[in-house]
Amino acid sequence: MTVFKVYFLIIRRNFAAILMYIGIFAGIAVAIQASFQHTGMTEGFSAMKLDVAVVDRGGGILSETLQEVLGLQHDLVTIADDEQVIQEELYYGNVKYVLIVKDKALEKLQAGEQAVQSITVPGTIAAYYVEAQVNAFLNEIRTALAGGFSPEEACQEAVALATIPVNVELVDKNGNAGIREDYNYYFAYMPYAFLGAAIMSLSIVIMELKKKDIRRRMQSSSVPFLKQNLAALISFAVLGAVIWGICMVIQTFLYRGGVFGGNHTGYYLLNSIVFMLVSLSLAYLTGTVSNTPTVLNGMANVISLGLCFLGGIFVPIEMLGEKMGKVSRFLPTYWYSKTNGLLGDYGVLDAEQIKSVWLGIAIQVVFAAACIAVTMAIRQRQLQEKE
Amino acid sequence: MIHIENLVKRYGEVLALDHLNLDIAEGEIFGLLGPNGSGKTTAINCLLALLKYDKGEITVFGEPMHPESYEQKRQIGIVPQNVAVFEQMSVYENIDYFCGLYVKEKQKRRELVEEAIAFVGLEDYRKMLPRKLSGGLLRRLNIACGIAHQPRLIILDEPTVAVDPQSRNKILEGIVALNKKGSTIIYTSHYMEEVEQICTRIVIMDHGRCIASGTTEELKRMIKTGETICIEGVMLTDGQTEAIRALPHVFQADYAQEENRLVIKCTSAKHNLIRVLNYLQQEEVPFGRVFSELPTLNDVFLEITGKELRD
Repeated sequence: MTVFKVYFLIIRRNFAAILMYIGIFAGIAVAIQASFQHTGMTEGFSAMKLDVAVVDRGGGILSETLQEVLGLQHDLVTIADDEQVIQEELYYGNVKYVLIVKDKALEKLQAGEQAVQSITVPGTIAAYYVEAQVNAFLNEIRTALAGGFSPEEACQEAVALATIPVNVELVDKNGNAGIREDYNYYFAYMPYAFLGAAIMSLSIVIMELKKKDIRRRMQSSSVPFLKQNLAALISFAVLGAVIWGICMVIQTFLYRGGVFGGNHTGYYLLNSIVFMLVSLSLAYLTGTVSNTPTVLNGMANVISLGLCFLGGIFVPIEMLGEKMGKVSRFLPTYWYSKTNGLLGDYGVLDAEQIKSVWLGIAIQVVFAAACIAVTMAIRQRQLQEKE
Repeated sequence: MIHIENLVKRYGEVLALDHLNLDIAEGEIFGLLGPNGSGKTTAINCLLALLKYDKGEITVFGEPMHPESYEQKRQIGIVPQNVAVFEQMSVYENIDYFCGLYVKEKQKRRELVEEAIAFVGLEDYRKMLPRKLSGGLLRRLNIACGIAHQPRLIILDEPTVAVDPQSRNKILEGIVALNKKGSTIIYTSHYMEEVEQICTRIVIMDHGRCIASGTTEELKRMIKTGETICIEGVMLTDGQTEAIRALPHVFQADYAQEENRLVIKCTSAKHNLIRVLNYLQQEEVPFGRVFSELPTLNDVFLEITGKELRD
């Protein structure tokens, strides 16, 4: 109990730093989450309306009908039949699609020639979207004409078809209606709070306890060495539980129950508990290699910010480039973030996704174990050097 | 109380303790004197079972000492050479913590901590953090942390290093007071004056060996020098120096011509100084300041090892 007490006496003195890290994290998480719109994909569907320019070079019924049909789905814009003007309009994004209806378009269509020409920004969704609608219209006319309808009848038919309302039903393939739970954003940023708070509290105690003469005093006392180590272990666990508990209480209040009333509760909790284990192991390492509070402070910032940036907590991995993405795989934050992303993206997990979640959690456990092993080796070496 | 027999400790090729033998009786203030690197701290660490040793036997309170000898450890207090306290804990918390490693009962511990605070005179600094204390006060805190549980045996490992003279005296007085209260003290130092001042028995160590032991007087009697006479501002011929060397009880006379200084070592006898001064008057040799010194522990060390204690 005495050894256990010393941890918490010292941690109490640094409680402001712990709260600071948790406060910053909660602030970031809430701000980021608030900036996202909450329109789920099954809540409603509205077709996209684009600015489409039509250059009519010959007029006629086909051109008029095509403009009428396109006008039902998009906003039509008039521009000059000038190649340079067309290029500029597309370049500045004033229009997304330019349709040129050729002279004698109907005749050309009937003769199997190209009746219209389109100019778009290559590779854009708009290009494919409008192009598909134009082609569908022309195919309808072509089919009607081949079926013996007159051009007027064919055009009337095409307009009638275009005005039929389409019922769109979106399938909730991911099981979460396309919405990430609010608390998923909170959990996404939690590693920063865990790392900062654990290092700033636990490392200070470890740094103090590893001082040669304090260790000498402890070892020459009547408290067995095993008991001292056990007390240290319990202190680690209690500290981890306190930081984790504070974060859970905050999310419960912020999101009205948060993870406790949502999807994948067990996985979220397990992923965060395992990351707390990672944070404690890193705090153990940091305290072992730091000799002064200044060094410790610097290391706390480098580790917490560095791991969060490189592991995809603060910025998506894709933004870091391919090479950096490969490096990130060696970081526990990457696996935490990946697991959290899976839990956020899917309301229901299939077998493969469940496997990925467990893999992410297992890799974090391995990282923590490796970190503890390295720290113990360093401590052993430090003890031998001091002896 | 403590028996160390043929203790050998090696650090690789270096022989830190070379068949060390020590016996310490209850109630002593036992001084372990020796230059830096002589093996004092290693001996203490072996005694506390903090270090494994290669050969030998250690018994404390009549029982063999092992790392798991917690009952014996309960009766020992250690004051390490460097200040070993928690920077983030107050004076009271530090003493309470280290006392708590020995005394579980809260009420009793509170009393002991208060006694320790009063003993080292830190009553006004209870709530202060160590970084706000001066060097002397820090040393006192270091001592309080080691003695608060009122151990039967207190080991003080060079507790006055880098301490101002005023605090040093206070610490030395405190150690004597602890001994009077019933604790046996092991005091290691390379300051011979301190050891001479407070220790009832002394062991001089060098190269991991005990080279002499006894009370201050016994140690001084072991050597030839009984008195050292120093005469300054004196000009002597070679013949006169030789004549002084031939005086009764004089066994060494060194004349430094550049400094006009004569140092004479005599065996223990009456009227050594008078005989030397009579000779100088007889030869009509003028001289300046004259003083005579009784042998110190440094002389003991010098004569036994051929080198100064502080080399």
